[in-house]
Amino acid sequence: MASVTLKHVTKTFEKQTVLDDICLDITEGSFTVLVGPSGCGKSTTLRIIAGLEKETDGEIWIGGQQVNNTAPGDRDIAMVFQSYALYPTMSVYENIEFGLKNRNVPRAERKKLIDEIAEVTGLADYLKRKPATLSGGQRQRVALARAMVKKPKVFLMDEPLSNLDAKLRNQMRQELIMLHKELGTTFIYVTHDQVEAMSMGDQIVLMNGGRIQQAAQPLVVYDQPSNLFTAQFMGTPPMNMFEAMIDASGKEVKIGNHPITKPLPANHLAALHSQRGQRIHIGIRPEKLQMVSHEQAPLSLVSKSDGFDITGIIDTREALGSETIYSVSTLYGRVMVKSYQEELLRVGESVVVYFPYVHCHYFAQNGERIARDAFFSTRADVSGGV
Amino acid sequence: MSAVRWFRKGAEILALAGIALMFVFPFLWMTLTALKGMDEVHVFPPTWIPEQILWENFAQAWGSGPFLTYFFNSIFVAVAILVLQIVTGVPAAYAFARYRFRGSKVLFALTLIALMIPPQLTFLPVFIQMSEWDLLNTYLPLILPYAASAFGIFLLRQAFMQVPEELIEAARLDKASEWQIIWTIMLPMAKPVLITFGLFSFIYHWNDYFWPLVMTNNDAFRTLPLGIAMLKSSEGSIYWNIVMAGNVILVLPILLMFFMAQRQIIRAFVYSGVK
Repeated sequence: MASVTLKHVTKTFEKQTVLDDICLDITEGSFTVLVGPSGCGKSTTLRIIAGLEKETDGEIWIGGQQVNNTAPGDRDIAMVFQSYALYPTMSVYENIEFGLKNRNVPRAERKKLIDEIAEVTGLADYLKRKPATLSGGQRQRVALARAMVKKPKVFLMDEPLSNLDAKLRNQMRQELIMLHKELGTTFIYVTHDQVEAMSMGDQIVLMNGGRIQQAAQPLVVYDQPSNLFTAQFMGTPPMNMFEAMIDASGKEVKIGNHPITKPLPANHLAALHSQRGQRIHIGIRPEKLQMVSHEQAPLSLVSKSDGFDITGIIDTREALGSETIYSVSTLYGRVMVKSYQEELLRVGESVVVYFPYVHCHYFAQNGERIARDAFFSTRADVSGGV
Repeated sequence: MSAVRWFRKGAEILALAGIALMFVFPFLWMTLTALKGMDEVHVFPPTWIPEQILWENFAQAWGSGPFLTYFFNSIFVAVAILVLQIVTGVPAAYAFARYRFRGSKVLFALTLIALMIPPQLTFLPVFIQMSEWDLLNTYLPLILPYAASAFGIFLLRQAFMQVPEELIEAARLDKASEWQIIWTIMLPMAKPVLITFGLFSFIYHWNDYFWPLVMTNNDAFRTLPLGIAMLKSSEGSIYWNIVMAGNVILVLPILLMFFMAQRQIIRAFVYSGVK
């Protein structure tokens, strides 16, 4: 077990900045997920921690030791690769054994360790087989066993589930969470899949363009996205985003050219005070919007809730069973609505969409979040407002 | 429909048989001649099956010179060259395949150029050099000029380049040294290529006539092809049956090797990617 710390790590490759001043604290025993679109630098960060790539500048610390000049094999880490990278000419047993052999673990102890790990990973019957004869899931297990048997201080995983089919991926996700609980070792996990990030990590590090956009607990990233990118990367469909204008008095808010139907509450206006006379972005997640058909609107309870509304017409409907995703065209532009109601609305139907104030996020012109009293979608152990 | 398919199949087999015959015929004729008596060799029309099978032709060929020495020399030289070529070729190929260093492209281009220069162009300076070093009556002029093989380096480089980078990184994380990566990860994966190259090299040097002819003037260091050639020129008339018996002795080890490694050879040629 060990913490991992990056201090001002920069990586340039052929005059291109791949990582720009990355500062990151990964606490001992945490499950940290590096997530972001492809090319954001998440894999490079992981490879620099592993020592497979050399940083241009900055310090890397693992467990209180600076490891900038330590060879990968001496950093006391293990890595699981996307392709698993099993040695094809060696049997499963030899694959798991290779790292131990190179660490001069005596033969009898090697056997004991491998038998143990084979039992845990369910590979006991496959030890003599070559990787080519195994299924994707089994290869994945061999890769895990090979990493686990070394009892490393830190586990690094580079998109380890992306080669598995959806069902197996879900199953392995659970297993990895369990594994992390049992081992208590620091896990650093790279993925481009926000679902994996939300479900597995106890800390999410969201990256884009070689910079860290936000590093926080998953629900904090979800509830208090630090900027426009973060807000729109997490969640499916992504957060609705509208360009808005605050008038010089700081009281009236227009989305496009249309004043909102009910003025923002006092505490929101206070938070937006500094933005008087400027353009901002107002964001709201599709699942936080409420929608009723136009005829029912006057009777509806939601209309009395604290928020503004807009009328529109349903363009498309994706009924997914447990939820339904509507695309609605309104005067504000296209609005995505995710509804969990069993009664479905029809395409072409005229509707009213309600925007509860508590779920509105505000972002300044430069994309940064405008802090306000936050509402939490879940009452998890998330720390106070931003 | 079915008839057409039968016809096609038949034509295919016939064509293959024809091609096979073209290749097999010289060997067959050589072997049959090696078993004939001298009178029968010259009869016209020629006979196929020898009237009398004369196994003693082989003994006569073998006994007409220091053939045991030739045989040993051939094996020794071909094996020594192969071992040296692997020892020098594997690290070179690994470096060309995996490292970026200054001048790597130039060096690799030079290697490819070396591949295109026939020994007939280089033997003279090599000979003079060997003579100056006073090495002529040793094995060294036979072995040293072939200690590194451009062809081998090229083949192995291609094989090494197909090994995924992640595999090497995994080995590094498993605390493997560069040497271990080469010998325990890369080389086993390149086995088919290695076997192909080994066969090519061994056969080339086993059969090589020109280079040993130039570089030796002493029976103690001559190789089998030279010995066989001397069967032809020993006395006035050529005893074709004896010469052919010598040839059979020369070819037999190679044929045996092909039979034994047949599957590996085919695999090596079909081989396109490391799984």
